[in-house]
Amino acid sequence: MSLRFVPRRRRFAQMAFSIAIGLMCARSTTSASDAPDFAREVRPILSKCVACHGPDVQENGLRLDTPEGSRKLKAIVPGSPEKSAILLRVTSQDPDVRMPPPDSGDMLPAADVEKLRGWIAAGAEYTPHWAFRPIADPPVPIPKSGRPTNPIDAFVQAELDKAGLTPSPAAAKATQLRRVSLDLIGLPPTREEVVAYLADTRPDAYVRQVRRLLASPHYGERQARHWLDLARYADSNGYTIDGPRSIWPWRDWVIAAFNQDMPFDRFTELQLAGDLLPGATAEQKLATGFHRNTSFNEEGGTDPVQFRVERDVDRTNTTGSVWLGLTMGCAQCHNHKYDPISQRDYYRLYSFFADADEPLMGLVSDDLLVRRKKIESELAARQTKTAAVEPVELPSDEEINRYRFDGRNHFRPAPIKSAEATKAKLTVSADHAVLASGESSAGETYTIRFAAPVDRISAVRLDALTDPSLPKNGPGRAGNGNFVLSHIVLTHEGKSLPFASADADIEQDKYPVVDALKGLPDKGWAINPGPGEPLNQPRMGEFKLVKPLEVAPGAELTLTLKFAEKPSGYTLGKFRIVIADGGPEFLALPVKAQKLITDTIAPLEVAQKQQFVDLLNLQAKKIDPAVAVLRDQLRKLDGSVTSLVMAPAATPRTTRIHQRGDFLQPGEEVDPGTPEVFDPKDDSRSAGERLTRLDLARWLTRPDHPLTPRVTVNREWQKFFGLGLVETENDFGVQGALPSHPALLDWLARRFVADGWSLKRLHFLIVTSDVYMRSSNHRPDLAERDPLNRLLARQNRLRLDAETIRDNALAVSGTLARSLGGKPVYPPQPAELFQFTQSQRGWEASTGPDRYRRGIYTWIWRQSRHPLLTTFDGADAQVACTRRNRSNTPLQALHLANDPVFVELAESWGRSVAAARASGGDRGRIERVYADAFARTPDQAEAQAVERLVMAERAAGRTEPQVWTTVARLLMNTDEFITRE
Amino acid sequence: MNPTIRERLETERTRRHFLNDCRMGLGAMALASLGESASSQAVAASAAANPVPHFAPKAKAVIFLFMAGGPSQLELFEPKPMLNSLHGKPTPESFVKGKRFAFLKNDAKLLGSKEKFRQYGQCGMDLSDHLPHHRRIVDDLCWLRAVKTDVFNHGPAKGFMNTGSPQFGRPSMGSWLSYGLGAETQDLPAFVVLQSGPRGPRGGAPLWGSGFLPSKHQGVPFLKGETPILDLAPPESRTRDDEELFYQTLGDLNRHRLDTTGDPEIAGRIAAYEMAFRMQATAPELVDLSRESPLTLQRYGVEPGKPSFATNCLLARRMVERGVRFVQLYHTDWDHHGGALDLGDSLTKICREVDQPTAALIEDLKAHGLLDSTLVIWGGEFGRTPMGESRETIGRDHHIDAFTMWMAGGGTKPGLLYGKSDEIGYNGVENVVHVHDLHATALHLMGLDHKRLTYRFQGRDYRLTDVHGEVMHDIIA
Repeated sequence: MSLRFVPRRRRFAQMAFSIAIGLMCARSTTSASDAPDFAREVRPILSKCVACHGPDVQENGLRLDTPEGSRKLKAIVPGSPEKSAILLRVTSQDPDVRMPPPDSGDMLPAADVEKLRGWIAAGAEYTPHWAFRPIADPPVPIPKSGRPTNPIDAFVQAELDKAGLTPSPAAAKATQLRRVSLDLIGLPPTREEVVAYLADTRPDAYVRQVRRLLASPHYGERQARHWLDLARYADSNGYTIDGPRSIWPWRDWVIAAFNQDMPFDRFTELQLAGDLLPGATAEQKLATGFHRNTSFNEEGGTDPVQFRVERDVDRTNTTGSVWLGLTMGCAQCHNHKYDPISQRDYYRLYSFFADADEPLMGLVSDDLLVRRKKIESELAARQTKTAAVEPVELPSDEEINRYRFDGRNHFRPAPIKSAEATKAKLTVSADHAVLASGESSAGETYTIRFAAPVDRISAVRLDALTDPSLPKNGPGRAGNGNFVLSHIVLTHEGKSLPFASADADIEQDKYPVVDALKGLPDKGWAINPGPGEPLNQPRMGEFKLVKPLEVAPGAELTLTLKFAEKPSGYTLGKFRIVIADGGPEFLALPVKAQKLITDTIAPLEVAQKQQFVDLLNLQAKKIDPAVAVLRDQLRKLDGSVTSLVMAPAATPRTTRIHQRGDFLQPGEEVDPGTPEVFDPKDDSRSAGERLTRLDLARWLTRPDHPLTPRVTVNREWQKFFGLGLVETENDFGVQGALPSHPALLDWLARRFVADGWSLKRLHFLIVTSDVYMRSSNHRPDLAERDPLNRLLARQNRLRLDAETIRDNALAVSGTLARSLGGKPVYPPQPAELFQFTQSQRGWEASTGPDRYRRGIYTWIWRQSRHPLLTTFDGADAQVACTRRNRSNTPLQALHLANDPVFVELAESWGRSVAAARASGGDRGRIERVYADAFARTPDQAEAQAVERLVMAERAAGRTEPQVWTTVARLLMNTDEFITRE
Repeated sequence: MNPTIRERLETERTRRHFLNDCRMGLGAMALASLGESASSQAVAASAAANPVPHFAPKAKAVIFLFMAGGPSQLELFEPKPMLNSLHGKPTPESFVKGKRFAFLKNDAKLLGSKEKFRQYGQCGMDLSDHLPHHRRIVDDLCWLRAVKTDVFNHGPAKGFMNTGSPQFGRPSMGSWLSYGLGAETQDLPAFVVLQSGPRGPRGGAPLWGSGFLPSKHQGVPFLKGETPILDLAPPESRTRDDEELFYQTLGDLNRHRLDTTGDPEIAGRIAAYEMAFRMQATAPELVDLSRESPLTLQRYGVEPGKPSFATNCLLARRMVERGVRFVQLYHTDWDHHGGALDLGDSLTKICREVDQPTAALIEDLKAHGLLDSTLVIWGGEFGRTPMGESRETIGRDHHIDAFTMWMAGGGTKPGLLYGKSDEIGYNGVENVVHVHDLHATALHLMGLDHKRLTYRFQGRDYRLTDVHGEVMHDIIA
């Protein structure tokens, strides 16, 4: 294990570091201790020793990771560096004496030796790291200027006093309103709201606004988006295939939870373990979607165990960073180098998640419930008529996979040699698909010659495919995309090979697939499923030979497809011929069942397995077809809205430590458990019982937990100032930054817990403080003395998050659709986006209100996120994002200036400005757009600049709506528009 | 109206001078536009300064020709008589024990190669008949004949080759270079991605993502057609002149706001808009091949107006000429399992698409004096197994233990044959190059120490090479 430090390279990081040191020194002069900080400076030095003198190995009986151990052999004599053997060892020139041993290649630099000396001289205290110590109960300081109303201001002012800095004045009233509105609900105040607020002279006018915002349903949307960042939320599975998934009901649950101000301890419990509560309700189970937001690899040929491991690793790391603010990931491969997290701790935490199953949950709304009852009673009536339904044993995953393997290995697309038609034109593509164009006439016949891809042919499958060139995408060429195949004939060396049976995944009433074997002019196989079901889908018909044909591979065969004379024009638009060479088990399945199990490679859900059994029974005529239909309806109803959730596995899974992080090298077995260093002594759980996620959640939210409250209030603080009091919001470990205001952090953490873990109360407290309401303008004096504004003499100007940039533009342009929740939507995006993805994702831009909904509702494909998100530092939905970057790039400029979404919004806004009855001519309109955009009036220089543009646009012959569209676009592109001042 | 039009013309003139003077760096431009604020000037200047490399670089730019899907080294570069003689036999257990594959089972039969190989050039590199144009450049290339990777599914393996990690979400090599070295041009992105072939590479945007690095370091996909960057074209009916006035007014408002707030971020925003405006001219000029000679087009095999790997190779040269730091070309699909993609016609076809333009690119870089300062990398996310995979036509599965890649230019040794695999091409037996080593070496050639190029995220100093990687000094000239 290498313990070498990797030096930081970036100048910027060094700058931040020196400032942190500067602040620290400012404080330490008052606390009168110059001894090196143990956790920060000394433990990393000692960590070089603990491989041989630590918990695992104690050469010469010495261990240096505990005070007791270190006193042995006088290795460390507190207060007496000269008597401490360790100093002799690390400074000795004698290779037999020197430590670490010369052959290890490690040697302590002189600076480290001095740190050790200083620490021993000061008493060699093994002081725990600040963040692992209990949360203090600091008194609220009284600054020189007197006690402020809000304790936050007292803490901040006390530090400013020490540094001799004066705070900036309060921001303008309108700026304050826009700021708090964007921070709490993610939307700007309307022009009317600003006017009303400016006219409100009551002393509590601002507080009233804050109350209004906290009660707004949009509060939940804004706050949920932050949580979704942590949860790595997306609407697709990620990796290479990136198939769609349904987990938006969980997103809606989160929005509702924030709106209700669900206490954060309760929230945590439900997110991690809602399913484990006694008598858990559907909603409580739904909440566990948090840890189902992991990516899922659907690529062919993957090892399912490997990717399950990766999901649980992701869950462990995410839990570590979200609640503990610790870099758990470091302990996946080895004991954490700096923080007291062992690899064993890591896999104990991991084991909580390994014990869970990953099911899909059906959700039923009220109106669906009524329909469900009706079907259920019909079903009950039917079933009593027939024999009682025996409980059936569902097939195991292994059994399904056997079928799948059989299916996959015995079906080959037939390479087409030629494709001819009586009148139509047939073209063959590289993937062996045949596409028809030209005439589509009555009694059309296709003659397809193909090479046998295998040496044994037991069945022919005809895959009817959709294509954009076909009516309604096909697969047929009739006006509605249907076709009627009246005869299918396979010939080899001039002889036709008889089919024994035919089956299809869909058969239109009166047009069963078996009719395609008969060759009657007005009958055949058609695919219209009737009302309520989609017609324009890929479909398959399977035709089994009476006797399998043995041929030489590559031998030529001919398939003739004849279409009905009546109705005329019902020909097939696109298709592929697939040959089965055996695979008897799979082939014996009804085609619907074949399709059911091959449509996905994921394990089948229970409902799917039931459907599979029904299909088999139906084929064997063991159940009443009407019963099967009813059950299908029921399943569809239940499956119409689903969400991914967690559930306890029937039997817990054995977790072993993955040596070097490699799951193929299992080591010691571990049970679920929390990191030992934090394990509270007065644990109430009964001994020997296997811990569950519920225990984990309850442990995380113990009121005396040193980390969760601190980490949480720090992240909340970050929402309102851009940076947390601890700048490394995801690392409260030894390597993380020190808090800028340690007392304030602890005071807030205690207050948060005492307030019942209420986020709304915490937000109220923060946004009503003077420090929050200050001007964000930069000051030359601060630029030198506190360039990163860690002491908060002023507010920070913050670029808005990706979604908020568009939400704000939607609101300002008057187009925002304010409805809450529901299925994801598709605002316009350039089609070119999919040039770079494996799969061409359908992205039909939503029309109507869905086009103008908030960014939180935009569908997220992990592999091809909406360009707004990639351009403006949206969360990447791969790992927990605890803080977004705020970059500043030319691509952002192009996006705001030219993206069709923003151009469209500028047009809406411009049109409404041009149409508005405004007094004061151009100047009046300019003042109006400024009020819309920034909640302020333009000054003379700004108004004149815009006026010049207005005149130039008019001179170029533009209409008034066009002129004001340009003005709207101008304002939307200013820095101020995308900035929370 | 008259004064306004005059005024407009006046401002346009100064503006044009201002915007067209590309030799002025971003810093200078920002300074010129910033008025008097000293702190803003300082910030703008520092925003433009590139970070300093760790040591003198040999290369300034990288072109990564990414053969997506995993080309078969056994059909292109590695004749294995022993494999041919064992054709149809099960693989000796010593090779496959404990191994996992995407699709094969451990009892898969060995598959001999039907290709004819000959040795070419001074270096005597083996090439099959699939790559006739490579014969001309064998001695310019540095051949890595035993490359090894860790993961055997496309997505994770592509992630690994690009970011050094099989988990998605880490910064890609191009992002690291942009972060570590900055940009050589203020008119184009530092990291550009191009795509050819029937579909995009499996894995998509995370392959050129900047992960936890600031998003200005992410790869910018260049689209097919005349407007290569998303949202590059102004809204319909807006002329360049209209836009110039628009951008100027915008700059005025932003500068005014900068004066009010003193926030240096606004200076960055002003500079970003100026670059965006310049890119609207430079990017279409870049992809406009009408001024390339017919002979050049012919050498690459470019058919004007038709997107292809050949077109992208020529674009890559033009980008490097203009100071783009990292150009990545994806070409799909080398995933020759058998079936729709087999080692017969499909392989022949894709080799034909790639062979000539690749050779032309190397020769063209050389002719332009750019090869010395440009590191070219050719290869896929893995190679293919010595065992056959029996779908309807024969192919090979994903192979991670030994496959072939090459590097050229940028300080690598030309005509070097480095590394060797065993008699059946299963394992590397000599000078094995791990993907981490490849990354370490590429960074080294660019003047960066892979152990020192770090970024702190979630409490850890991350590297492209994780905690691994050795610079392959043997292959450096």
